[in-house]
Amino acid sequence: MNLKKIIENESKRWVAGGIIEQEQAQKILGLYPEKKINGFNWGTLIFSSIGGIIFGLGVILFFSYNWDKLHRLFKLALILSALLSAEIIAFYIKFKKEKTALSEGIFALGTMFFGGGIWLVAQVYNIDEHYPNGFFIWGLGALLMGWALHSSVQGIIASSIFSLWCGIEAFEFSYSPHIVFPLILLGIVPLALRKESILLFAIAIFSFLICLLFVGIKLFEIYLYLVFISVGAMFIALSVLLKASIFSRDKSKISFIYPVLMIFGNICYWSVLFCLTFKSICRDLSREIDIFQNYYATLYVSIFFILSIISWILIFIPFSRFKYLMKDFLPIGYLAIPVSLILTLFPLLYYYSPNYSKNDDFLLLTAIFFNIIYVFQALSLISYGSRHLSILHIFWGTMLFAILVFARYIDLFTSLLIRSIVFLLVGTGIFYIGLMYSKSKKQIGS
Amino acid sequence: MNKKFLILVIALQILVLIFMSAEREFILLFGKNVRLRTVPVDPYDPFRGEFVALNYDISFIQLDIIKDPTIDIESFNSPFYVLLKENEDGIWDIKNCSLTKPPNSELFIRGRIDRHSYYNDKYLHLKYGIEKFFVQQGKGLEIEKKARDKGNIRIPLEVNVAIGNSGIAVAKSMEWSPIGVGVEVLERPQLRNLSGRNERNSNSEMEPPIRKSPKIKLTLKNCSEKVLGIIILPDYASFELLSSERSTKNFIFRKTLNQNIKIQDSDLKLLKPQEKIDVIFDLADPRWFVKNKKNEYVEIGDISNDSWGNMIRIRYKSPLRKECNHLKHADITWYGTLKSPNVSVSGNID
Repeated sequence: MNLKKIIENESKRWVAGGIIEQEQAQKILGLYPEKKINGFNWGTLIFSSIGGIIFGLGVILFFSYNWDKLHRLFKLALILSALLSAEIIAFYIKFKKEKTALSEGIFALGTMFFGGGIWLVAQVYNIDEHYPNGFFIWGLGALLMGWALHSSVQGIIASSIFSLWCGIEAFEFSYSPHIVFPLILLGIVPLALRKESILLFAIAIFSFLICLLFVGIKLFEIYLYLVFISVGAMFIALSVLLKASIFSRDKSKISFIYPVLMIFGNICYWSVLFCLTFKSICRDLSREIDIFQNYYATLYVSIFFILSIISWILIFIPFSRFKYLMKDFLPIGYLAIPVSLILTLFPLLYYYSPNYSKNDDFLLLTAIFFNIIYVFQALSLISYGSRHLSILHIFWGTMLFAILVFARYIDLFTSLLIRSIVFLLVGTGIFYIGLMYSKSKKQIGS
Repeated sequence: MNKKFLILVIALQILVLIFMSAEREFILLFGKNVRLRTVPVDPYDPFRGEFVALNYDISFIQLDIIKDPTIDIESFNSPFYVLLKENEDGIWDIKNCSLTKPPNSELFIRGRIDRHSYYNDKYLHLKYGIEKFFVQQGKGLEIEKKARDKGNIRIPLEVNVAIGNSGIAVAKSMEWSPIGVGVEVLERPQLRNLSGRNERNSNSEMEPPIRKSPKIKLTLKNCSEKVLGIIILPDYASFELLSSERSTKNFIFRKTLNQNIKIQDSDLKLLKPQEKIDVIFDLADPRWFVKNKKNEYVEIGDISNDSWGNMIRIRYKSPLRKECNHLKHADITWYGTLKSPNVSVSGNID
């Protein structure tokens, strides 16, 4: 039930009870205008697009059966005419009938036919050149269509194809298609911003991270941690800046993307931070990190690290913005993110230090620092949630804290007595958080 | 939204497809035709359907035959031009190779250096973009089954390929070789301990000598539907043993092909359809000895005790057609070369 309906029902009760007059009830209702029904037919868009994509996949599979009774030129003519027909029909529906939603679905079908055509040509002429190139050309076709139509659906198709392309290149050929990153960040993300499509933006960022992961697993080795912690920290910083802009006068048009950056940023940042709380991973970092060995990884780490630091500087400077953010939006623990970033350089420093391989107490110290930052940030989330009555912050803060406690429970303490004390303390702490939360709720309620 | 841009993108998509197909169609229509020998296996591709994966004889190139000093064998994926020559049986083989495009008077195929052989750094693996032949679903398995015949006989596939002026190849069609080849290990070497000594007590005079190298039976089978003649010269003159491109060790055999022999009608064996002929190779025989590190010829089992990694192949080579014109059945005789499947020195068949 929407708000207007609730107030309408309530006002009837208030009028009947003599609390307000009918005239006043009408005035109150007048404050809530009827929600405008969006003229765009989302249902048609969603169903026709999904239908178009699935139908297109069916066509690709149909051709992949490879009827040997059909002449190759007949097959080619069939797919070319299917592609042309789909595009012409979609064009006609869009511009003559002005049914944009339906045309999106048919244009999506056209893009699938384009992909089908690429694979059919490869099949007909037994082409076994570097086959991921087919995905690259297909994705490029979808991206261009996305810009030609200003279409989120085409952007989503392009994102998916680029991710597939990157995965195949990385896992099957151990090759990093670096161009995929500018294609997503400069090709798909601006399309999402222009369309103000949070879905396309989320998918583009997801594709970006997936591609980074694919390339990272195969080629970055230990650098993967550094890349992802930098990207996570950068996303969080950008998200905080955008979130602040929502509440400021100069509300940015692109501020709608802040939750996406916040979610993905947190996933990347916390995952790596958790890993770095293990001494063994800090040791691996210090052993295998050689910036002169893996140039591409060094380049990626440097770019994201610098961008991340710049993003955080933008939060701290000017000081007025920092004060403003601290007041309402930023849990204090987030201030430790730049510290984590700088701390990731420690294993690298150790690698090039004269003490390398002599004494690894330094690495234990680094891991302890990461543990302290992790705990500080998790508790800060809980504290922020308690103060602002945000169950989400409390939940995640508690979860993250509990995960760390379990990890340390397994790898740190062998004594059952110490383990029991840790659990007693953690349990008491969480119980205390619950009390604090309910106290804050009561205070705000009164 | 710009309608003109949209029309341009649609036109671009169609042009991409037309360009991709037109280039290959042109080669199919006007390219030079060659026939290459290959061995099939059958996998599946979710986008392009079922295909027969082809491993051509020319896919492996021995580093020794690369005479061009500018060739950097480490530059994987760089274009590589392989000049071809036609054999007696109409199969084309490697003549030479080059990093630069040869003149158009030569017939060459463009490939890319894929990698070193997984097993042996004496070979390079090349890819020509024709390693997949797409077939209707279900037929790939049929082809694979036929390629392995019913027993241990392998029937090679011969692929008709059109080659354009720039060396781009397009696989057109496939045909079965009329002769199949198979190997069987009659006697395997006996296991030795790590020190290389025989497990049994070597002092015992009653014990028979331990076999160190395998005894292999090579079978040639007429897989066509007509009678074919096969010339088997005396004293194994039609055969040579080769170190396999998949072998971890590179063997140099004492005996090489020697076909300066007057060919007689008695050397020609007529094979009815499905009929076979067997030839026994005992690798303990000194004629099949290989060179060791001291440049001495020794039994192959003496320098190799690897269970799978060290592999050899037997190659049959018929005399040239012009040398056989005086024979009674010269016209129905099969001329060409055939390689057996890989056999490991320990007696396993690949």
